[in-house]
Amino acid sequence: MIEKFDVIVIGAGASGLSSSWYLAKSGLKVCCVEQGDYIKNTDFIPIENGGEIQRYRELSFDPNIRDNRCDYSIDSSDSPISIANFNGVGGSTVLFSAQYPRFQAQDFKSFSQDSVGFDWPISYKDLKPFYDLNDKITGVAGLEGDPFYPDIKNLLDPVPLGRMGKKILNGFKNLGWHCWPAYSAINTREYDCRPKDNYSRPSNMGNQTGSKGSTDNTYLPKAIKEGLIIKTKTKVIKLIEDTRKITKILCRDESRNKFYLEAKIFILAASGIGTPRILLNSKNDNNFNGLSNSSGLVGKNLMLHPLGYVEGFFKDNLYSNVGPQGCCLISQQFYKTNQQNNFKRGYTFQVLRGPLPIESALNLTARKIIKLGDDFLTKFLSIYNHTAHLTVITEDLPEESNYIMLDHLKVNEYGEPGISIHYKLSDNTKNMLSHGLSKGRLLMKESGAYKSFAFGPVKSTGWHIMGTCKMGSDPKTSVVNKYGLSHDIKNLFIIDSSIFPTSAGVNPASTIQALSLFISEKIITKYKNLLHK
Amino acid sequence: MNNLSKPLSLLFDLAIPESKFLSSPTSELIKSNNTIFCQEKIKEFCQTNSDILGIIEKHTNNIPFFSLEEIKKFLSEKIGKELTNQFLMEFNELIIFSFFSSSKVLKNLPIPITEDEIIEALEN
Repeated sequence: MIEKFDVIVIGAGASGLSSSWYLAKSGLKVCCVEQGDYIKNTDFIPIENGGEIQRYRELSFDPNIRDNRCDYSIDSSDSPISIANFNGVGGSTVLFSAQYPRFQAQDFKSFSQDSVGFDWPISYKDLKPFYDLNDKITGVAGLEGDPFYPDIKNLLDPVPLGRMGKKILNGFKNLGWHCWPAYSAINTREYDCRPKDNYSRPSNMGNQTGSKGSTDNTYLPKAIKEGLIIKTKTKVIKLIEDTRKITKILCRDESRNKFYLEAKIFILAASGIGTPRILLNSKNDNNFNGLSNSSGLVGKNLMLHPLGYVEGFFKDNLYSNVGPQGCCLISQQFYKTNQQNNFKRGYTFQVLRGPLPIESALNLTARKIIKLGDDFLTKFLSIYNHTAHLTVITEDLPEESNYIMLDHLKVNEYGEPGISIHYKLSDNTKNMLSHGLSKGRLLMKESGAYKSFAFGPVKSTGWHIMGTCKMGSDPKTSVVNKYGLSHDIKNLFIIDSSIFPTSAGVNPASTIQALSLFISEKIITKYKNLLHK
Repeated sequence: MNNLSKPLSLLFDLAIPESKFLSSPTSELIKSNNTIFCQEKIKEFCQTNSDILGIIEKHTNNIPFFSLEEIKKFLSEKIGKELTNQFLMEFNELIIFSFFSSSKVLKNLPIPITEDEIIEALEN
């Protein structure tokens, strides 16, 4: 007997859980299918007991290192940036740093404004109510009054800047550059029955207490309360299509049993990698290139936010490796196109807390800044907590020559293909990155650093995977319409970052979730006829 | 954890020598690190590099080493620069994982690691 639902959501990450909640609370019978498992509090080893090593095993951001049962191979050898993600309930928000800025209004209009990229078929104004709703559910720390985000209200107090943040803030002030406390999905006080963060675990290493705004902490309990059925450790092998409709999905559970699930509406929320992978894997006699791929764009226009890194070494102990990893300060001084630059669009500076001792020591020895031997510990301690960290998040522009494809050379135990990434930095991005690294070093100098380093793109930073199932109004040049509905399949929606036409220059989690809520609302209102059939 | 071999203990102690921040020699601290990951890493390292560890042990039975640099020089002459560098690179990773995941090390180093220490460092 095949189980039947109103809606099946594939993927329990940022977009999947937010949509599942919205649809379940609207009275629909919703099932969310997730290939990974729940992350339990007991899965985390406290940092003081050596928990950092989990970052190199089961909590690694690299699927090939982590190699959990639910992970599939991702070959990034043809790319200067490798993919980072997490598969499990909460998806990559389990390990995200909790940086939570919104896109700016101008980010939705890059073609009209700067003749690059594409205009989104929706605007900031369309998403604004859903950004607000998402902030309310998530709990966002920050400071009102930012000139770049004048309409953001009801924030929790900012995450404490600490000595490093204050030091760099002075540098920004001296240079007259924009700088603002980071928008962070972190509880700086008890919020919505979730506790205040105690900062004892960096935000990018999971969260034991529920204080981080990852979707397993925020949307999941609410969705369960509304009746969501969640099937974990269940892989979606294929979407079954008949006459331009998905009729059912073929799944496999942890006991290796295959089974089908049926629904009136199917929603793909499996990330910028997972969603095109499922579509490409679902090819049939009428759709040789995969489903929803009449445009040929499934997997193309991959954007990854190439990241630059700047370090400033200081004499003072700044406690710079303490606290929530990504959540200190941001600057959008160089965010918009400036005709004097040799690139269009721009980037965000993020002042970060540095990594924990293992990662720091591995980095410093690999770069020969310190070495094992007599004074190893003294030198290590003169740098650890004495280094300010800054990233440059560049706006990546869409290009069809950057793409993902099925990798039939690296198959799993069932013969199902992995994924390979084919990606190059454009000249525009290279110039932007170079500008950011140079300005970053200037900032470090102005803040009092005695030495600075700058490098990029950083290899293991492909967290923000966007563009691989582009949204647009023309079926020839896009995969889904402005409400996330496939141009080719009548009852298939895509709600994750794969539908972003452009990437902006900030972390996408907040926009992914706002967009997911926006589309969910359209499913309830504009496409309710699909639910009655 | 089982006892560490003599050459591996020596390497650990020379790579991170005794210091006011450490309550015991590095090899002892690492020996008490019970994380499975580190135990597996050490086992794997010893198996992969048993020949080189044997060469070091044989030499130390007659003449002691006083620094990691001495061992590096000795090995370069014995097995060549390339193999020595590969060995030391693997050792570098091993000691960093094993040392900085030891709770005894983390609690003694002057870095905020407990909840109270972290809040104090961040908020004051």
